[in-house]
Amino acid sequence: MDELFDKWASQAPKYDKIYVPLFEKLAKKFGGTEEGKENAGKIFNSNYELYIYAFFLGLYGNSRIPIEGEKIDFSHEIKHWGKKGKQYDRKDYTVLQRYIFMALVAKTDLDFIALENAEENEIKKGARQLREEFAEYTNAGLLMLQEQYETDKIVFNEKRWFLKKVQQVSEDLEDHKMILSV
Amino acid sequence: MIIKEVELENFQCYYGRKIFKFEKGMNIILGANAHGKSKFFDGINWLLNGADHNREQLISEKAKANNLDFVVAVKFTCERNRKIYQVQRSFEVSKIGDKFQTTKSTCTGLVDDDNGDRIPADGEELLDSLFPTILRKYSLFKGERSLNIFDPKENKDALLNLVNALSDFRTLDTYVGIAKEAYLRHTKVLDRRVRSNQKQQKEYNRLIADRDYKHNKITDLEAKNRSADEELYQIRKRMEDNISFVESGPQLQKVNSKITNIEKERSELQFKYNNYSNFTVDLFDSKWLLMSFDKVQDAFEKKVNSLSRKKRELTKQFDEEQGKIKGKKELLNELTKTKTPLPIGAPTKEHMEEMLEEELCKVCNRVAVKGSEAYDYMQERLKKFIEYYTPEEADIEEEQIAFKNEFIEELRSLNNEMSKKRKNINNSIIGKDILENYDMLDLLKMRIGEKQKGIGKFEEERAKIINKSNAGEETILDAATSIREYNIDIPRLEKKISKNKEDIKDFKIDLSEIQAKIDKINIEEGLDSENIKTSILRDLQKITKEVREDVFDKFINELEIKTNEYYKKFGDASSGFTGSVRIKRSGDNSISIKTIDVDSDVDITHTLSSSTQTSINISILMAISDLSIKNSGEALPMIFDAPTSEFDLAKSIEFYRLCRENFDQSIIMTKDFLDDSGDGKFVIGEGFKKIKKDKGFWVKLEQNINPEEMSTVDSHIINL
Repeated sequence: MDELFDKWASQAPKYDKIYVPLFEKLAKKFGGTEEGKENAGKIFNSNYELYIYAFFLGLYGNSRIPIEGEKIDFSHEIKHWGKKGKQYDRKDYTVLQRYIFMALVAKTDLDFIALENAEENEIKKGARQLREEFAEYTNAGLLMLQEQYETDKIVFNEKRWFLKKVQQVSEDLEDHKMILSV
Repeated sequence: MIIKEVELENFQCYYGRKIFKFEKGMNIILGANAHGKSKFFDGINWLLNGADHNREQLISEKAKANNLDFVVAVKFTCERNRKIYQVQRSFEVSKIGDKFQTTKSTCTGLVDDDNGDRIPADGEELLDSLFPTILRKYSLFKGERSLNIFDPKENKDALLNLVNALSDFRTLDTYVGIAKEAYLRHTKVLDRRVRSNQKQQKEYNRLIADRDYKHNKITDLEAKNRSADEELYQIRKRMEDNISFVESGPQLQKVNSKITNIEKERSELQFKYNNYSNFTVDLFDSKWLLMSFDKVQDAFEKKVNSLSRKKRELTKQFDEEQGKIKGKKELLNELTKTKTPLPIGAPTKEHMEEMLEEELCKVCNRVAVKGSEAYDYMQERLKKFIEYYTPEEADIEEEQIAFKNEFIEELRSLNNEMSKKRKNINNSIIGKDILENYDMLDLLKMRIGEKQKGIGKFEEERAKIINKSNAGEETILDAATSIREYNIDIPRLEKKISKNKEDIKDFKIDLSEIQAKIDKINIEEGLDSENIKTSILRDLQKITKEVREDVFDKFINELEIKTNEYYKKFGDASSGFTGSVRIKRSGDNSISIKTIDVDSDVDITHTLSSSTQTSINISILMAISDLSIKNSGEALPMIFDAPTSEFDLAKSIEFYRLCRENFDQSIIMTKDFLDDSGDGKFVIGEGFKKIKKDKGFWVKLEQNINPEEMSTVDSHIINL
């Protein structure tokens, strides 16, 4: 029997169709060298990189927003995310899949005890719920980026901005003394 | 000749009839790009040269959109010797169905007769008379490139044609022909008379052939020596310069090598800097995204531990309720009584065996020697453990399990795996990593700055060396190689010249001996008086040829002097070029235009800036205009399209001043004085007022039209 992680990672998560332009603006559609990415003026090397980035913004900002619009995905299962592939100038970061999974387990209200005796359908449903929650944190992160894009997109050209944004979101949460709840 | 008026009718962007009324002197047509300047120029060009193959392209799109039948025409009116001439080239356009059909273009003319009446004339003939074909290329110029009228690649015979048109050269050419013909006719008659004497004929023929051969050889060798002498002179001049450059060479090489090394170091640092600046990549590859993950991981651990404990509790309850195997229950009860037991398998079988072997309980860290109570306990527990995992067949059938899935075990295992990783991936390590990255970037930035300063310092040093030697860097570095080459070339040329001189001397001796023999035969044949005639005719041929060459040389000499006069007026020294123009005959009737260094009298071999080249070309045109006036009493109007785009403001102003002073009439199309007001509209800049001119126009597209929509395009003429 597959592990829960495998079931969760066996499909691509969804995102709201309204963010397609944001993906087009910030992320490359296909893989390629770092030079290729910079030449195209894109910040992220693939759509899923932007997806992961937005997830962590949502996670550290403790913000989850359900998708209201049309749900779409980029047909790339989670289990493949972060594999080195042909990008010789990049490292493998598949381990991030496990960290994301850990975060989702920590934050979900999914009944794991019930899952221990559940049938296949229920298990699949559980994995789907985790993917949906993944999408909700990402949705919140994408909204933060979209707002930034609409107010001052110039900052996207600043190399450190995306790093600083993660730091800032985490610090804001500390400032508000919002404790991560289990 | 003065152009009084040019009328364009439905010609390209000029819809309907548009008239330019020109003045004697300088006329400036201002216009932004694509507003109609060049179309005016094309109109004049079409009128003069009449290309008829692509009439369709000449038709105004607006005329097509608004009319069924109309005329496309360019007409110009000019004045020469107080008479008015008019020439028009036109064709008709008719719309048939969706297509436009055109008639062939025709060229018609009108001339004022003595009574002031206008009588029709053949347009093409009139054009040839007003604008001689041979001179047109010195009258119409589109862009800077076309100003280079003597470019041998574009126009091989340009200067020869010009000399023909503006000097007595052609007449003298006729005299040279006549003198040559007279000499040839005479020698033929003489030869025939000598040949009639059978006895002498064979010897005489041989002597004549030999004389001609030797004569040709001498001419050929003399020409070769002239060119070799010139080459030798140039090489020696360069050699002198290169000797001084060589002294600077090693110094320059050293500085260059230092610059190259520092640039390499800077480039390596820059490469590192770029790698350290890949912040977005490091979010993933260096796991910086986990910079605040500690609390999430704590929460995960807590949740997994809680779930694990809960599951064990539930399992215990289940087992009790199900009345599980007694041994197991006893074992658990023994161990735990009221407490929740550790799961079976903790410690693992391997750990238990290891502890027994080492006689040490590693759970409570106490010695458990063989035979002791503690040792027996561990042994008993291991036994129970093995029994637990090797159930009897009956047990299997009967056994009921509390949970059929093991996801919590999966989470526990994930927790164990990721806890180990926390050693390397946690908030403080990632934070430190990021700070170190920032520090490294600051350090690299500082070091790149230092390298840049170093490069600047050596570049200054290099500039000093180059300035001191008064030559380009490449020249200095190549100097040693050049000298080595010159050291081979000079003796080779000297040897060649000397050998040729020896040969010439020998041929001349031979020639005089042959001539003496020919003269002797002529005397023997009673033809001595004819020898005198031959000599006179030979001299006559020589003199006419020399006069002709003299006229040619005088013309180009005058052209050279006048060109340099104008060129100096341009004040081109500001561009760094201080040479002058040398126009020289090279070979038979072909001309070379070179620029030379005034001080050293050596050819300038490097490429001139386009601004300097344009100044030289315009100076030559002004000189030609002067010579034209001197020769025929009048000059053609000069029509320039965008001649000054390579010039800075000061030079442009100088250009306009010289045009006004030196050309009887000039028509100049330019966008020089138009300023973009920022909203795509143009205004005439203050500079235009400062230019002295005789007439100004502004051609601009009709407002509120879409330039992309060709059927609306219409250029208007505003008299300024």
